[in-house]
Order: sequence, then C-alpha cells, then structure tokens
Amino acid sequence: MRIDSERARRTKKRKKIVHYLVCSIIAVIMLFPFYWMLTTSLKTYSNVMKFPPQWWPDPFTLDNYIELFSRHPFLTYLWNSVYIAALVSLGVVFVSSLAGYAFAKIRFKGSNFLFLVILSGMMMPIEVTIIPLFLALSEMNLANSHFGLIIQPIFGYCGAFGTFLMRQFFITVPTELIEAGKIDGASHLRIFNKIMLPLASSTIATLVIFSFLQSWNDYLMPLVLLNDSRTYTLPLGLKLFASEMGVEWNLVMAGATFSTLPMMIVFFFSQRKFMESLAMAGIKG
Amino acid sequence: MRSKSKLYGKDPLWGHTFISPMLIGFIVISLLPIIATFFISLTDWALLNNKVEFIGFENYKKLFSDPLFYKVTKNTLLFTVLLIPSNLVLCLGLASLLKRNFKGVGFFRTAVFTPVITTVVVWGILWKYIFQTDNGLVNTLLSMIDIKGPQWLYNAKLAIPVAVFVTLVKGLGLNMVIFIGAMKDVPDMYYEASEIDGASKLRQFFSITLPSIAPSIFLVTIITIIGSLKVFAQIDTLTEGGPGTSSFVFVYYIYQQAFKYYNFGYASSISAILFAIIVVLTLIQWKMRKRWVYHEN
Amino acid sequence: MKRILSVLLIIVMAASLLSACGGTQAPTQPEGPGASVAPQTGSSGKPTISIAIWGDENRKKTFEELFVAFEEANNCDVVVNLVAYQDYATKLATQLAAGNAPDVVWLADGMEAQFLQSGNLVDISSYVKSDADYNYPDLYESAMAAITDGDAVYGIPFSFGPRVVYVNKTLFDKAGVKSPSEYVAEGNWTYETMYDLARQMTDISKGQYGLKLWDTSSATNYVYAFYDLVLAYGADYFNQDTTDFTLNTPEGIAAVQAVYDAIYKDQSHLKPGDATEFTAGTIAMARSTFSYAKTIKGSNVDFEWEVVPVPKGPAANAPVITGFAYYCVTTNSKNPELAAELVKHMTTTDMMKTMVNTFVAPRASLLNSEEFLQQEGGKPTKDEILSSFVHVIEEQGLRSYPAHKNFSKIQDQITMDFDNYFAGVYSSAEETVKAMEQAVRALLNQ
Repeated sequence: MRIDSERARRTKKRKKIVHYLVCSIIAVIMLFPFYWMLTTSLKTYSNVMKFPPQWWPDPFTLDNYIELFSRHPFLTYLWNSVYIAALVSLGVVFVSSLAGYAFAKIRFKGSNFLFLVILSGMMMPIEVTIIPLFLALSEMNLANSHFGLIIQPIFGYCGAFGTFLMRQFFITVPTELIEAGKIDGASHLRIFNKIMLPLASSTIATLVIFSFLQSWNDYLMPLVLLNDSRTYTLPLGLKLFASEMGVEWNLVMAGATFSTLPMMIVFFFSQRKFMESLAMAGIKG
Repeated sequence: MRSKSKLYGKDPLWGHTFISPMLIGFIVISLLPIIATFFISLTDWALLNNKVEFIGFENYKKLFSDPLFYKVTKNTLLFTVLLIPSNLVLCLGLASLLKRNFKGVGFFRTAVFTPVITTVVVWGILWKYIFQTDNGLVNTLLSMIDIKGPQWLYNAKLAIPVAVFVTLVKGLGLNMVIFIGAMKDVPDMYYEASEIDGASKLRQFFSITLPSIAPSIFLVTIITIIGSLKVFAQIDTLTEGGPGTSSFVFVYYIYQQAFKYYNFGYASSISAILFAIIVVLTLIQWKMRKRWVYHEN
Repeated sequence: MKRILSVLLIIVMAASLLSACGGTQAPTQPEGPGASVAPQTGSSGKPTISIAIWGDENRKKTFEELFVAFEEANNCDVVVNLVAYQDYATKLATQLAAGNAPDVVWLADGMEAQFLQSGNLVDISSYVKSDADYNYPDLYESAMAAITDGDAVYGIPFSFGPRVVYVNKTLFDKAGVKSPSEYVAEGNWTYETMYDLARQMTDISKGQYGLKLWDTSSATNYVYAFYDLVLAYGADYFNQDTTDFTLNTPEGIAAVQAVYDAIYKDQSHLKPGDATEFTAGTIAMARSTFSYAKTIKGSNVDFEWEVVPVPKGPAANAPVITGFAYYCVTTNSKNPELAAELVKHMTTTDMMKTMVNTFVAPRASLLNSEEFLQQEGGKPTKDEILSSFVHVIEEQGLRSYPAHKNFSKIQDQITMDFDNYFAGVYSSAEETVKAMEQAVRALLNQ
C-alpha cells in the first residue's frame, strides 16, 4: 500500500516536471519574437543588421528610446490608441448586450431577420466599404476626428460580433428567471440590469478584450480618417518609421516594445482574475 | 398559453427598444456601405476622376473570366484550410496545459498572450525581419546545423504557409483564453465521476471537455474562418501578395484594384463575391451547429 | 463604479444616436485630448492651406518651420498632413474620391501620370512662368516632361537625380582589391567590372556581400530597379511612344540574365528578402539614391565610404533613369491661388538651396551652386558629386518614366514576372522575358 502511494507520488512528480518542461518550451517559442524586438530596440542602427546577428546588444544603448520620444509624440499615439480602444469596447458592450438580450429572449416581429442582417456586418471586408463609409463620414463632418474611429467598430464588425456573442450567451439563461422577474412586476430593462448583466459578466469580459484588440490593431480606418499626426494611433505612428529610404528597424522595435510592454504587464497581473471571471459563467452555449 | 402571451404583452416594444441603438447605428455605419458596395459593383467607377458609369453585370462577367480571380480564391481557401485545424488543435492543447492554476501559470499565459497585444503592423514587420532570406534569424539558426534555409517570403510554395504561421502564432493567445474560460466552467464532478470509472485523461478530454466546450469551439471556428477569408494585414506587410501572385488573397486583390488601380467598381464586385462566400459558409455552419452544439434548443 | 459606468454608457449611446440622425448637426467636437478637426478657416478667420507629405515627424517639423514665412506673408495657416510613405497613395485616393484631398500634395514617380490624366491636378503655369525671379527655364526640361502638357504645368519637381553607387572603401582595402573609383578614373567602370568586383568581394562565411542594387527587404518595383541597367545594355522595356514591349532582344535578355547570375550563380548580390543595409558594413557596393548619403552620415558608420557613378554598359552613353517627386495643386483645393503660391514659394532656387541636403531639385543653377557641392561634413566630396551626379546628367542625359494610362498595371506585371524568375517559377531569362512580352503587350493595347 505504501509502495503504491510512493509510486503514485513519483509519477505525479514526473508528470509535473514534464508539464513544466512543455510549458517552458512553448513560452520560449512564444516570447522569442518579443525578445528579438526588445534586444533590437537596444542596438545601434548599424548593429541591427550585423552578421552573425547579435544575440545581446553590444554596445547596449537607450538612444533609440530617446530618439523615439524626442522625434515623435509617442505618448500621444499610445494614449490615442488606448482611449479609443476603451471607448470602443464600452460602446460595443452597451449596444450589443442590449441587442443580444432582445434577440435571445424577447419575441418580436422580424427578430430573426434583423439578427441575420446585423450578422452581415461581420462578413463584408472593410477594405471596400471604407470608401462609401468615408464619403458618408465626410458629409457628416466626422472625418479627421476620433469620433468616426470610435463609432465604426461599435456598429461594424465588433458590434455585430458582440450581438452574436451576447445572443448566444443569453439563449442559455433559463427563461424561468425572466418569468420570475416578470411576475414580480419588473420591466425588461430592470430584468436586464439586475439579473442578466451580472450573469453575463464573463461573456462581457470576452467581448471587451475582443473589441479592445480589434480597435488596437486597426490600421486602415485610422489611416483613411486621420490627417493630423497628433491624432494618430500607435500603428499609424509606427508606420512612419518606414520611409522611402527603408525601415529604421531599431526605432520601430523601440516603439513596438514600448507599446507592447504595458499591455503585457497589465495582462500578467490581471490574468488570474480574468480567467476566473471568464469561468464564472463561461460561454455555456 | 394565454397567460404567457399576457406576460409577453408589451414585449415587441421592448424588443425594438433594446435593439434600436445597435440597429440604427448599424444601418448607417455598416448596412448602407454594404448596400452601396453592391450598387457600385454594377458600375465602372474610376476612383480618381469620380466618373461613375452604370454597366450592369459587366464586372462580374469580367471577374469570372479573370484567371487571377480563381488563383485568389484558391489561395484564400488554402490559407483558411491550413489555419483552421492547426489553430483549433494548438489552442485546445495550450488551454488544457494552462487551464489549472499552478505556480508560474501567469508567466506562461502571458507568454502565449503577448503576440495578441502586439499590433498587427509590428507583428508583420517583426516576422519579416526574422524570416529574412540569408541573414534572418530562422535561416541563421538553420545554418548552424548546416541547413540552407529557403527564401521564406520569396518562394511561391512557402509564402502562404509562412503567412499562416505568422497569423496562427498571433491569434493563439486570444483563443486559448476563450477555451480556458470555457474549460474552467466544466463542473469538476464530471471528471471525478469518470475518474472513478477509470477513464484516461485523453478519454476525459474527448468525452467530457470537448462536448462541454463545443459552443466555444463553434464560436472560435466561425471567427477564425471569417477572419482568414478576410486576411489582409499580414499578407500586406509580409509578402505584398508576392512572389508574383502566389500569395494574392481576396482582400489583397480588392485592395490592389481599389487603391492601386482605382477600379472601384471591379473591387466592389470582388467584395460582393467574397461577401456571398462568407455568408454561405456561415449559414452552413449555423445550420450544422445543432449537430455538435447540444446546448442550444 | 457602476454609476460611472452607466453614465459613460449613456454618453456613448447619445453620441451614437446623434451621429445616426445627425447629418444636419454642427461639426461634432472631437473627443479627448489630441484630437482636432482641421477647419477650412482657422479660428482667426485666416484661410487655411493643407499640404500632404510623407516622411516622419522630423520632416514635418522642418517643413512647418519653412512655412512660417509664407504664413506671415500671406496671412494664412498651413496645415501639414503627415502620411507614411507606403500608404500615401491609398490615403490620397480615398480623399480624392470624397472630394477633400489636401490643397497641395506631394506626388512620387508613377503617381503623377494617373492623377494628371484623370484631371485631379491644377495648371499652375501662370504662377511660375510669369515671374522672372522664379526663373522657370532654370528647371531641366527633361525633368518637366512628365508633369507638363503643352504650355500647362501641373506640378514642380523637388527631388530627382540618377542613382549612385556607394562603395565600402574599407572592405576593398582590406581585401586588397582595386576599388571602383580607380576604374572610374581609368574610364573602365562598366557593369561587367562591377559584377566581377562583386564576385571578388563576396565572402558568404562572413555574411559579406559584393553588391546590392536595390532595397531587397521588401517587394520592389523592378521596372525602376533595372531601368538603368537595361538601357546600359542597349535594350529598353518599351519603344519610343510606349506602344510596344521591346525587352525580348538578346541585349535585354543579357541584362536580365546578368542580374540573376549575380544573385543566384555568383551569390554576390543580396537575395530578395534580405534587409541588410549598406550601413551594416558588410556590403561592398550598394546602389541607392543620392540622398541615401544622409542616412549613411546619420548612422555614424565605422568604415570609409565613397560615391561613384552607376557603371556604363555596352551602350556607352545610354541615359540614366530618374525618379521624381513633385509638388502639385489638386482640383479639390478651395483656394487654388494660395495653393499655387505655396508651391511656388517652396520651389524657388533659394528655397531649394536650403533643402539641398535632403532633396536635390532639378534646377541647373542649383547643381552648380556651392550649397550643393559643399555637402554637410564635406561628404560626399565635391569631386564625388561632380562625377557621380552632375556629369552623369550632363553627359548621359536623363530619362523620365514612360507614360501610359495602364502604366501601374504594366509595372506590376513586369515586377511579378521578375519575382517569378527569382522565386524559381520561371527557369530562364528567355522564358521570363517572353512571359512579360505576352502579358505586357495585352496591357499596352487595352
């Protein structure tokens, strides 16, 4: 009996080691591009292309970061990106949780049809609708401002996806909950606010991340809409380092590191809580 | 039945109220441009001089006799077919590895998530730099073990697989997070019960985990398919459709026609076809979901 | 927390509703700091002129400073729109479609023909030709060819010139190989010599390359990249009036073959997909634009370098190709007079002299001016500039890009076929050129 438990413990330990080993290999592979980005940002321009490549910058220099901030309003780019993405996420959560709830739980005429119509928003590539959209936004005097950049994803790809996601979630919530609420005399708005939204917190978290990242990565929309470089977002700002004379790799990498690092830290410290909130209700389906 | 209809008496109004913010915004921001695209596809619109001429279905006729269109379709489907299964398998694997809380799990999760938060522009530039022909990191490493690496991004057969790889690595983290969320939600007692029955870990994965998280798999598959049919940024930064036309995908072709040749009518007709393909594929999945996503009635 | 959240949600909703029914609303104020709307007239009621340029924030600052004098003289505001080089055309196309392109734009090679033919550019001849101080005849005629139509002038070039070859002198000295400048002095500087030197200077084990003819890091316009070479071999892509594709000759094939051999047979040229720069110090010879010298100086390289002209080929005095960049006024401009004045202001001899370290303008008086010949830090030297730049223009002459309504498609087609050759899809130079011939003829006759 004792030998058995000893053996079991040993297998468990071995399994644990293998588990860590596999995880470490994956981490090395996944972090390597980031490592390369970081070290390149600390090299001098002429050392970026050295052969064989320098695994560690020599000489080690912070000049690229100094140049990055002295030449470009990089903090402004970062702030623009962050606040636009945050407002986009907020807006998406608002419009699509309402719509998703209605499509899942309220019977009204044409609901299936309207749902499909909204879904079509996920399916048309922005590369072509951008021209009619830009014409319309210019007519409304919304070109060359962040406003168009914020509402486009809310009512475009992200909003359509969000409506789909939220509908899928609300369908799984037992209808009895709503009926109980109704019998107590609560309106749909109250039921939505007090019962449904708290239940949906995990799905909302997913949606927030998704929308945030969509906006964070967006390139074409800001390119077409923004004229003043002080209103630029990170991707636009980073592209400025690729000129007709070639790419200034060390500066691009400094900008990239600077824009990725804060997000990495935020994720590292919030991931446990985040995963737990995801699991609280999950996308049960 | 009667009591129910009474209960839902004022519901249509509520339903319309709830969807109106989304619907009104959607019509202006998305639907009108989509409808406009269909109309534009029936015209010859030279973007630069703004001359618009109605030409009926000429663009579509031209499209179906355009050999590049077929190549683009083939390339896009290849991209999708390569990406979907590898993405699912890897994400499920990663999620299983990292779903439980153990010491250092935060570090490992962050490692997998880092590419997700690197902006697409930078991600493309970075990999282009890593996949350089002779002096790139990959080929330098290969040359250490005496293998002469290929021209990764300038090789007709490799351009798409490399683009798939770069896209795959970037997206793993997000999908993994979704799967972890879903996996954590599977009640422990299911596993405990099957453990008593003597089921292996692998067996548990297939008989408990997979069916329980089917809705998430469905969701991830739909987003990935739509995303890969619309792939553009990675191709644009990595290969610009090259070498030759070997990595031309739908949206790259659309972009080239619209913004390089200013053939806006023709670009719109390609978009309309792509739109139709995505709609059909999504509808098929939607119909099929009942087979494998049990939870929805 | 919850309350704040709901307030924010209401704001977003209100904003979205406003935008939905708000065609008649007053221009919406941009949100957050950093956002701004460029109005037609500034707050002070002064007229505003917008100008689109490519480059980075440094360049934007430089230009904003240069515009101050103009702003004061004309009591107006000049707004600079900075766009990344690669996306410049995309952005401009959408703006033109919406009718709100900037008043003044920069146009690079290949763009001008399309914009001109579709009627997007304003004729500014009356502004530049009437003023004797402006000295319009000083601009090279060959440089004006693509942007003029009879008496009409649709733009002024501010950057031009033949490409030059940068030589890493230190590498040559170390290897004990006779350097290109000596061949230039002897009058033996030919493509054959260049390829031969490249072979001698290549050492794969050290990652050292003999030659880099174009920027191999990205997809390249090969028509432009190989134009000098093709002309020097006595061939040409097109006939005189751009109605036929003429590269399928023994000379044309030889020119194409030579490039291929340098890359894949001798392995002396960087392969497509390699981003190594001349500044890394591992490339013996690199051909680039004249203004690349500024980049080399800026990166404090630890080797000696010199500048030589592009080599000559079997066709001894073949012209060299030049790229141009122009200032143009768009038909979208609500204030074309002021816009034309701005173009004029930026392209006077004096203004171009102040910019000479960044852009070389095609003015005869500028090329022989001390400002041009005495570059910052004395590098490139006066002799280098004369032999690689000024004399090439005077003796061999410049050739500007051919004009054809389908030119961007033709250019892409040729580039794709070269791409296929380098990627191994085509097996020989003959096959490549033949494939080009077939496809390009179809495009020429469309």
